[in-house]
Amino acid sequence: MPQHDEVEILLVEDNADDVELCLHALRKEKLSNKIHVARDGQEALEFLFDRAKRTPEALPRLVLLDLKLPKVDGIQVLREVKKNPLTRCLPVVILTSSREERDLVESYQLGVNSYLQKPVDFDEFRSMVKQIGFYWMVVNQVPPNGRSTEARMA
Amino acid sequence: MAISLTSRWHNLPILYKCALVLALPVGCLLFEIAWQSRVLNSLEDAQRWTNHTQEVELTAARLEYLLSRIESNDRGYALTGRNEFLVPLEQEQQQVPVLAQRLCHLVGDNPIQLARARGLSSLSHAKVQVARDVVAFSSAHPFLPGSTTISPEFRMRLLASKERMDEFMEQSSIFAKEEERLLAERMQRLQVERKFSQQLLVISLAGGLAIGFLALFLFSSTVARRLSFLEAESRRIARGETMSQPAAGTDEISALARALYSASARIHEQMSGLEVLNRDLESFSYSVSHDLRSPLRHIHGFSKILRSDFSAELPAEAQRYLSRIESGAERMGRLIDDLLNFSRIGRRELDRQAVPLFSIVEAVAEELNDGTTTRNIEWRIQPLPTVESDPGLMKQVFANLLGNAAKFTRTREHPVIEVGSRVMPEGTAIYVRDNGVGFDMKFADKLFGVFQRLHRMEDFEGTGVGLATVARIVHKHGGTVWAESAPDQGATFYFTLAEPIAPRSVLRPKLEFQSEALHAAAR
Repeated sequence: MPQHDEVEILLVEDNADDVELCLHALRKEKLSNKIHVARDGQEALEFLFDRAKRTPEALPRLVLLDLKLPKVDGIQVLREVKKNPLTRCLPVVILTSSREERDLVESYQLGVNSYLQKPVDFDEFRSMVKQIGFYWMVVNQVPPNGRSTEARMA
Repeated sequence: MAISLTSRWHNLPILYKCALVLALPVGCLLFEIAWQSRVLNSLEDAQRWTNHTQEVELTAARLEYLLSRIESNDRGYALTGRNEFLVPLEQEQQQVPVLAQRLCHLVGDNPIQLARARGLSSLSHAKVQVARDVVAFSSAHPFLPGSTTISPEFRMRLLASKERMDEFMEQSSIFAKEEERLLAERMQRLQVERKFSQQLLVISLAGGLAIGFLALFLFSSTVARRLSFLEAESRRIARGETMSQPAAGTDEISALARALYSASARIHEQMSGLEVLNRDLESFSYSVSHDLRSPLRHIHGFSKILRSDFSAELPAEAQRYLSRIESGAERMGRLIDDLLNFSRIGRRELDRQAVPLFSIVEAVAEELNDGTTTRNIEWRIQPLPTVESDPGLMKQVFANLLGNAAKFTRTREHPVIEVGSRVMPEGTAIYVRDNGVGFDMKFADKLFGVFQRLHRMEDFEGTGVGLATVARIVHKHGGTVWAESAPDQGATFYFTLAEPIAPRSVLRPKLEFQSEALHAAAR
């Protein structure tokens, strides 16, 4: 039973231009209107853990995470999310400008589900967003309640 | 004490150390030579002593013989009264003092024997006197032929003569025995000395040998061992480790160790400086890749949205400008990516492995074909060697060279791109040849510089980083890159890849035609 504050995608992005472009792309691809934007890492973590404690259904189905964030950076957010049994099964896709090898390596070591570099070409970006949305929201299967076994047993 | 001696030895210049090491056994040898010459001297002395003793004995015997001759002639004269006995008698009597004196002279160094010789001399003198007395008595009272009796005076004189002779002979025998004894004593001493010097010879030879070995040990432990320690330290420096602080000292090796230590400290200092610089560079490129690309994305994104969502409200000219903005942003994005890649190649360590170049070229050509479906490029890919190199970077080299070839043959009716290898004075060179627009060789030196372009952007797009990247990769592999061309005559790019310096076990043959390459060539 969907609630009125249901969120399907959490977009963690500090740059207003990026937020606008990303939302524009998502809307154009008719992917989701239920998007919540967190403007820094701390806000993102608070949002996620707050919802995770309330009820598992309140968690978004996908997190789009930027790496360079104020207060708590993207890598730290990823670490916290993947460490906590309540949020561990949440698909996290990193969407960033950086193609640095160390970011890539660290993200995958922390268990990121996908890592994408934002292209300069907006058309490419749109098609990338479309693919992510289609894959994670439609094609991909997640465990019931979006929680790890560990969390359900608790 | 021991410590100060050791440090003193350490501080001695190597020349002195060598001299000392040499001096020890040589000193032993010199001592041995001196001793043996002393032994030779005493042998000579012994010989002299033997001769001397023989001479003394001979002289004494001659004196005795002379006296017995005197006695016999004396008696002859007394019995016959003939003068032929008198003449030799006179001569012999004159010789007696000469011989006696000679005997005294010969034993002059030994007081006891001298006293005895003097005794013999006076006895011989007395004997001569008695003989003279007999002659005088005989000439006064001649012995008559046929008489059977001897006068008492005559008898008395004959008896006295015999007594003197006996006395002399007795003393002479004592004298001779003493000489014999002295000789034997000297011979005994000589024997002892000879034995001792033989033992000394053995001992000093063994000692010299032992000292020689000791010197060798000293030399090797203080010179050779320290040198090999320095060698090990230099190897550590070569590996980029720091050298341990050398021990204090003033000889050449210590000086070398100190020089090496300061060199290693300096290298270390510069290395850490470089590390800091590298970190700075890395964080710089990180910011570039992240912060510079973001605004470009925004420019491109909003321009695109304007053009697509508000096309009805925008005049054609505005739309054209917007598309110019977008292509500008795209170009800058590519430029940033290329530059970042270029700087990354400089920093990155080569991941060397056996790379079959043929399959890389094939893959790159296929990708290019997919991107240029409207054109029909004729690819002529010859068999290529397998080369010890970084596969990712090799792919970049061919992506740039083949990409350029495809780009500059765009205006050709029938584009042909050939890839092959050729043995040249510089080594085995890989070449990429096209029949494109080519370039003037007077600009050849600009070809591999960053941002150097030989064509207008409207004619052929590009960032001017591609060939600089190729050159950087080839140089990083220890090879060289060059090109030949003429305007409108196509271009050929060559590059070599030097053999890596690595342990033998990692080395693979530079040229090794892959069967798949041969197979593909036959196809």
